[in-house]
Amino acid sequence: MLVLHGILLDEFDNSELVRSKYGLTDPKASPVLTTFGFGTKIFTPFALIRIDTAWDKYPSGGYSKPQYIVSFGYDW
Amino acid sequence: MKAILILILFVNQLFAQSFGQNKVQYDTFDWEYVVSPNTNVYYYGDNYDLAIFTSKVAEKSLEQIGKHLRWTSNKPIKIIVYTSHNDFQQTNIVNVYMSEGVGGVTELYKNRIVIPFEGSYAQFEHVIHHELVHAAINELVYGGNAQGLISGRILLQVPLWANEGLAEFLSVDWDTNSDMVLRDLAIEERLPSIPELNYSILAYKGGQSVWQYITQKYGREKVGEIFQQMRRTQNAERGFESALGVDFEKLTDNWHDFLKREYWPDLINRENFDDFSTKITDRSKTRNFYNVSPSFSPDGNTVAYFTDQSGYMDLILYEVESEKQKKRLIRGNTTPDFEELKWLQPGISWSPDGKFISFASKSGEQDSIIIVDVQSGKYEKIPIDLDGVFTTSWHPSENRIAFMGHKDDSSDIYVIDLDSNEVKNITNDIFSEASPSWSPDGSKIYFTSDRGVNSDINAMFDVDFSQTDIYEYDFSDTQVTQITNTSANENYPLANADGDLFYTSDFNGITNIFKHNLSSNDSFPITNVITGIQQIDIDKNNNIIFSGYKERGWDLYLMSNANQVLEKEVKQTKYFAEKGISNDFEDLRFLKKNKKVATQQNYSSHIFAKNYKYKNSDNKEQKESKIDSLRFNNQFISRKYQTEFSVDYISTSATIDNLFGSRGVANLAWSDVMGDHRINIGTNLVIDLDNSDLVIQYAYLKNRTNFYTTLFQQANTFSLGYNLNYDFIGQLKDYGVGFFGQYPFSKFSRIDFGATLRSVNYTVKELDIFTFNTSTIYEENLKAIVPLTSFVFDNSTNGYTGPIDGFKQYLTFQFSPDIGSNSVPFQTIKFDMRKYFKLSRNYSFAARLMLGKSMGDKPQKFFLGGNSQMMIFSDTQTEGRDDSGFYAQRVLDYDNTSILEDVYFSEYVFPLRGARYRERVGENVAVANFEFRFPFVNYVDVSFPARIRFGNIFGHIFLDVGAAWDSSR
Repeated sequence: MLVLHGILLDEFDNSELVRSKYGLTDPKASPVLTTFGFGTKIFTPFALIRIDTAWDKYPSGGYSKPQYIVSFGYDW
Repeated sequence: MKAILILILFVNQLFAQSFGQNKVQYDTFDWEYVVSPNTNVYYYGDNYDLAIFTSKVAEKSLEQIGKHLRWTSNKPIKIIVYTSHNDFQQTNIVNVYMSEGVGGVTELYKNRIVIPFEGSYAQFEHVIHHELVHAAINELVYGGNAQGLISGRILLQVPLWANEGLAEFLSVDWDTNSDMVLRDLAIEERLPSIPELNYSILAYKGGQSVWQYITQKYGREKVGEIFQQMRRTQNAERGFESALGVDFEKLTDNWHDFLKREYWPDLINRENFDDFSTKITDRSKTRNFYNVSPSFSPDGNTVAYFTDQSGYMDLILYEVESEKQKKRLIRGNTTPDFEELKWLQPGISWSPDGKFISFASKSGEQDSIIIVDVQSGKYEKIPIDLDGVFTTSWHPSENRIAFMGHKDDSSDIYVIDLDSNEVKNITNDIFSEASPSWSPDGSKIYFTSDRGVNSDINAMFDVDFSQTDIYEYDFSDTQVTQITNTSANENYPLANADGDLFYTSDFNGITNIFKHNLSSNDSFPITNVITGIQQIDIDKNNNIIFSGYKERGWDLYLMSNANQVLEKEVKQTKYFAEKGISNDFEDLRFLKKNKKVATQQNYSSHIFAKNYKYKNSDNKEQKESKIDSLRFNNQFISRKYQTEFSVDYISTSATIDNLFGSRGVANLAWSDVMGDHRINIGTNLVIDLDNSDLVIQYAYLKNRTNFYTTLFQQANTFSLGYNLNYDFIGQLKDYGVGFFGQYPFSKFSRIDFGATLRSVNYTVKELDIFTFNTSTIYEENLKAIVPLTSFVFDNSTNGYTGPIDGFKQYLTFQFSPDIGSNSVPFQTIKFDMRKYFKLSRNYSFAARLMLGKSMGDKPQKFFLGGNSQMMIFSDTQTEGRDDSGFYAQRVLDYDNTSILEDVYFSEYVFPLRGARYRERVGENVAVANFEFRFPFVNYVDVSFPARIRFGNIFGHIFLDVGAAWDSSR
């Protein structure tokens, strides 16, 4: 547990570290990000193009505006 | 796209870890080659005769292909012959894994044909001819290399159905198998439109049928005209329309009408499977293609068979009484011992006590006979020292198994004694044998062979292997006796205790089951099906189980009391009745179009005879020089293969870099004929060499361990801002050398190792905007040696857009030792595992866990967020506030004091869609991804501004959770 404490707990336990690191204000800001969304992918003569709509879920509740993302390449 | 991937691959091999299955070079091949007028045939070992056979078949095939396409070869086509499928799978000429179903391949970079000999000369001749059609089309349409397509100079893409269909049509014309597939489509009223043929396996047989229709209606001369018109218009449909006067829609209607007239009369004269048997598998539910190789247990209560219903080839047990699948005994294709289950020439067989099952399997380096315990599923692997092993048949009372074995240029019946593992070749000749089965008393083996009228011939190129009969090998006198002697093809012989032999025969054009009395030699058909039957087995009560073709696939059917079934009348199919009618046509290869009539002509040297027109040509010297007597003098002199490099392609492409945006890249690639040595250069030349990107890689792939050496330089210049007098310019530069190796344990696992030596520099310059003088105001340098080792496992299966089933993982350790004041000491460990659950056809669920930790004086940073090669087309936000500042840009800020570490020694972790690049940063990272993947739209037809069909559009829903954080100090 000591090792775990050393590795994990600073930024997870102390939101102030996270806020100052990234310039955030949310008192629940943490190193964790949660995102979700949906998308489609289509073959073109040049590449497999992926078009995604994604949201960032904030730790204090609420969501970001949808992000519209175009990326290239196959599924992970 | 290919070029883009190649450059990314370079970077991966240097700095990051990648998944992927392995092409294992278990053997090293010592290549030689022989030349013929139009081919170079490469071979190894003692297979000189096989090379000559290939040359002769190729020359004959090229003459036929050339006449159809109105094309003459102007450079030798390279044909690389492997003597088994196992060896073929080791080729470096094509990167993809050659599964059991791939009989040969033609690639476009050097127009090379790569083919395995798998024991059957009939099949081998078919494959040579089939692949030569592709090579001819490649040369005719694309100039024999990929450059035209890559550069965009050639827009025409010959549709898959036209390419594969013509290859089938010219190589086999038409046969009972093709007839079966098309009859089934016509009768089931599931005929696809011609463009739809491109999206399924029907590109082969369906395309073959379209060409059969076109040549029957318009004449074979139209084949060449269609290709001429496709080249002229650079559009497939317009080419067909110009040559035939109908577009694809009308051509589809006409073709469908032709097929209905051809096959619908068969509904009256023939039986459905339901009329005389019970179906025990149901592909309408499982939606697979193959249920094959059924085998009764000795008590007749259980049937073992192969099925691809899970997406892999599995061995399943079916309980006859309860009419249910009992269990899956073996999962194929996912482990080294069951890499391929030999389903093309299958043979599942039970031990006399019913406790074990035998079958042949590709087990890594070589084929094996597998003996599996039916109850426990535990198995024993018996490696067989042959080039190929197929179709096992267990002795009815002893511990011996007969099987078909393939060694060098011949296939024979072998018997292995399971007590001593001694293997004996019992036919030992040049002919192709198949489908061995024991007589009920175990004194004889029945098998299929093409020896027929060729029984005195010992040279393979004189064998007429077009037709097979059934033979009997008697252990008492070691003599081979011919049982059937017909013009049809008999297969799968099985004798019962009553002295009857059951087998399949394509008599009169459809493959049915026949019963043959071994005493009287009387034989007659006991089925009269509409489509076709293969792979029969019989139990002690004379119930027959067989694999029958219906509704575009193979199901299993049970036929009771087969010994009591009376003779059926099998009428000739329309195709069979018209077989052999002359298909001769005019050779238009040397017809000159729009040639001006000469006012004076000296006819003294002309030959006024058909087929001699080319000798009257003005440039006949050029035509005649194609048969080069110096190159080929009919002696087939063997020559040693020399490594010579030639260009594969030169291309330009665009890539998207996380930090620096898009960039153009020129790619150049060379390799030798065998693909063992490869040189790739990727470059982005800017102003001078010092400011340019350059990657030079040499790959040596000949042996089991693959080696890569890479020299690289990357330079990036960017703005750091300005004031009233100066522009501030940042310049980043990275150069070094990488050594990398991969040692595969099997197709599924490997160890990677290597090291990178690199030097990275950061320079800030100020440019006087009045005098244009520049001066360096800041300079920083880091040096590192980064050794890396990694264990990679990957047995995932890919669908259209990525993995859909299986598992993959890597565990990587890399470190950078302290080598002085400018070094970057760290130790990093990364673990990534991904599991894919195939829910049903094309539906899957994917889950991933990635963990990383970096330690040391200057630990690496994990940059978490975004997706690879990503662009965001909307506002981004921080805590609900619009914030266009990408964290990625902060790496290149003037104030960043760790720019070299961030740019060159950090790790981007994807995907975390909805977050930006570097949304979280830390020496530790943990990410979990969950994604449901599904088909969204089958295809969309766009009419304006051009008629384009976008096919196979997929969708996904995802949840990404990740964290990156720094360790406590």
